Amino acid sequence: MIKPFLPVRRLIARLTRPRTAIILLAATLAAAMAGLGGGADVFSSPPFLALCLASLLSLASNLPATAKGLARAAGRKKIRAAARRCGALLLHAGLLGVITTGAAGYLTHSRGFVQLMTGERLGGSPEWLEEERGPLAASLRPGFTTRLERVEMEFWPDNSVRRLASHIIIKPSDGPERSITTSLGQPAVFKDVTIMQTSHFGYVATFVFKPAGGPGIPVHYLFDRAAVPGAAVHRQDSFPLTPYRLDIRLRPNAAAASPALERPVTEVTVTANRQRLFSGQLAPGDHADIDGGRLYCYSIDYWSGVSMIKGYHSGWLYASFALIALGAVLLSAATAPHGPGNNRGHT
Amino acid sequence: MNTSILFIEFTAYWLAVALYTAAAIAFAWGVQFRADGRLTAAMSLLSAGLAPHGAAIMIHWQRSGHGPYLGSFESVSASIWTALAFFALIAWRRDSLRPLGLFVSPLSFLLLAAGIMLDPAIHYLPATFQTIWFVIHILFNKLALAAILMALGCAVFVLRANTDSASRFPASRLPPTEELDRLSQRFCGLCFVFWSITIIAGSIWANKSWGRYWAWDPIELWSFITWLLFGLYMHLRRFHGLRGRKAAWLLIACFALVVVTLFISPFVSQTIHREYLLM
Repeated sequence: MIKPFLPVRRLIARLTRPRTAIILLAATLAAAMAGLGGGADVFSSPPFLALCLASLLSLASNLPATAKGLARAAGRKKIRAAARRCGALLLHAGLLGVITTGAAGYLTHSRGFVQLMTGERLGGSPEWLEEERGPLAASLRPGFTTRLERVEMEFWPDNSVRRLASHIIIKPSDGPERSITTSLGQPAVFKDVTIMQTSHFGYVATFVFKPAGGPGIPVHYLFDRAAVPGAAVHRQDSFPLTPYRLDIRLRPNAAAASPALERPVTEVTVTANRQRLFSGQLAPGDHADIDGGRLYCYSIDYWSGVSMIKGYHSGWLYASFALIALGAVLLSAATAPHGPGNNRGHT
Repeated sequence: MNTSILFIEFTAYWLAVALYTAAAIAFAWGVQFRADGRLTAAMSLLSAGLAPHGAAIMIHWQRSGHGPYLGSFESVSASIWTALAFFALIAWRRDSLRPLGLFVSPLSFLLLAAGIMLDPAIHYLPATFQTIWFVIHILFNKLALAAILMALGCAVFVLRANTDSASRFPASRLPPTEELDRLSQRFCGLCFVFWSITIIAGSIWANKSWGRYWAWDPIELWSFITWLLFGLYMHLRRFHGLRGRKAAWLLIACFALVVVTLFISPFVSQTIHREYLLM
């Protein structure tokens, strides 16, 4: 007979040796200890997960042989029955654990979404743009201040996001400042609060209007990002505390489409009582004279959508998942491949 | 250079379709006329088809820069390869299960050919997909599909064997009906475990990407219902003596739910899974 996939079978044979299982378990334990020690995020790294998967496969393949050996050694039926009961118990306990932890998480979780502008500081008890909380949860108060330092992004040629990360400075009430990075798919955790990068981000154009003899009025205008690379984004809005209305067209990708090379630019039209007072380009640092006052384009930067979540305890869920897996392995290892004896109620 | 790589890739795909088609014909011949030689030839053709198909997947992987899991073409192609490889591994070890190729091979070449003509474009990997949990989620989903296909084959043979003994499929080649019944349970058990891992890995991925394990997304819901039905099937078999035709029909219902979850609900509902299935 043809024996295909020989290298794969050799690899499987090597993986299923008891000695390999012990080595893999020891390596996993060592890596986990290193992860607990702090520093790098070991637990979500691909090598650690690959190690876990290999250990699980190796263990799973060794368990049937071990169970069979045990069964041979002392009363086959009794051992099998006990292992089956134990497996069923663990599997159902794990399921119960998932349901209980999930329900508890739902009842007690709280979550807030905020649009953070570059350089903006968010207080320890912020007002969320969107808030969600379980029936038994209070409003989320992180207990530390947050400042967005910078936003990093990479795009695919079709303008879809390849990477999006926010670098955030955190200042707890009882300790020194700390810098963290949260990116899409890789949230950061600080003091039981998960800080998640959402896929929402865009540009923020800051204008300051300085009336003659009066103090400056700063206003931030937030724009969603353009659907097409290099395209302008558009917004019409009033300028608070003034009779002016601004029509802003922001060209973010300066190198691609902006007439002002190497820097982003806005095209602004200012109207009051349906009269056009100004129309032209304003890059950061530029200004326009309006009614004796001055409208400054102060800066153009990014905003980033960040969610903070509290209440879901991943550790309990993962432990329940592990119980389910262990129960399933025991159950299948203790089930006789042939013969009806393994089934209660079989006729 | 690029055009020639593309040419090689699609030549390999069509070569695989041709070999799977030939395998399907040989399986039909072997089963209908109870010809052992044809079944061995069918197995060889099917195994030979896996090579160009695997090579085409690897070339596509190299071109796209990510695994075969974005868009309907990549998803279908990789699922078929996994199902066929799973079947070939088992059937080479156990001769008596080769007639199950009658179910696996026609489905494979038809889906693969349709996939090539549907949308073989390259899609870029979204940022939230760049995690090992997503890969585990997809991998075990494909294995679950492979296992349920095998279970389905066994169940259909159980039904045929029980309905019409005169015209039933070759008894000399297949295991006894009781053994087929038991095998369908074991393959379904495998599928249950793989499906569970799919859900668990998917929920961990969702938590890392969106900060929640479960959001009652339509596919999540369908997947949960399917998992519950698998659980019901396993419990009825283990504790209430469900056997034979009734068990086979329940397993077919499980398979129907798998089809609804994986191939119908993404097309008819607003779900985040549309992103990778309908690109």
